[in-house]
Amino acid sequence: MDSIIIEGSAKTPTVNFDAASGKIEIKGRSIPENSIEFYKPLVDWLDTYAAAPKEKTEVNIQLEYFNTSSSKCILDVFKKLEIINRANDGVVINWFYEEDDEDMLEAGEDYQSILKIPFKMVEMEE
Amino acid sequence: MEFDAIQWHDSLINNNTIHSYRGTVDSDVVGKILEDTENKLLEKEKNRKIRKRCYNVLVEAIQNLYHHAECVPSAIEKKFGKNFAVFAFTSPDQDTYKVSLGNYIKAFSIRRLKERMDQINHLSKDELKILYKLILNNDEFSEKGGGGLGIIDMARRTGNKLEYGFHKYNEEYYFFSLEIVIS
Repeated sequence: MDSIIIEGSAKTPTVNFDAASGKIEIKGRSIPENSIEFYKPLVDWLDTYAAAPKEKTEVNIQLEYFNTSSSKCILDVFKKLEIINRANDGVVINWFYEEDDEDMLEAGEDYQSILKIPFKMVEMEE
Repeated sequence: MEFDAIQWHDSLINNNTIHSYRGTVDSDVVGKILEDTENKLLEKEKNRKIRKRCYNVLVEAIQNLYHHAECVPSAIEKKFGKNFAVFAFTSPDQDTYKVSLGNYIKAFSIRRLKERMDQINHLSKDELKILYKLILNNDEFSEKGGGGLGIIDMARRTGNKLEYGFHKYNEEYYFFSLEIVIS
């Protein structure tokens, strides 16, 4: 299965979805006006990955900014991961936030409360 | 007399204005405004937490215009272009920032929009969080990719009430103004 590697831009994040290692990363900024276009290939990729996932899938979400349009798409990504986790109990989401960014921590906690999937809140020092 | 959006926008601009824009709002314009406001914020505001909160509100505010500035009276469109909207980012005093925006809407949209604004303004912090999560999880998107969360997000982040107004342009069109204070 092919990996997805996308370099970040002013409005879109750096993406690295690697089926071989089971490592899934979204980093940077996610503020496109229409996030569906950007996230659809990622959600589709997870559908394929879900057929034969790694024993452990490590998900690293390290966003500086994300808009509300992205927030719904990120939830779609998490819902796919939730399905994988339901089957193999091997998914962990690491939600990174900067130490003074309470809004980003709260956003992670919002997702955590909606989903049945292990979340680890990871504080980063300045 | 018909409401004058240009005059309203002019009234927002003074020595405390950090950035302002009026004209067509398309994806490139959104990108440019965000880049410019971010650079100016970097210069002006040393506190990263406040800077981030302002930027988050600016993203939602400007993208809200992008998603909702489609109904423009023909005379305005002829003069100022499609998807016309106005925006200003000001700092009335050292610890306060204000985002002001406005766009035309059809008269029939007023009732629904007013109900939405009043609902948001009446909700407590915890109730806003519940509403946010409900809409986050509803799988609905507009044709242009809006998720229906922008205004709730701004209210949640700032903790302040939204100041809004509907100003009559003619029987068919009104100008919708929205101001959000970040303090």
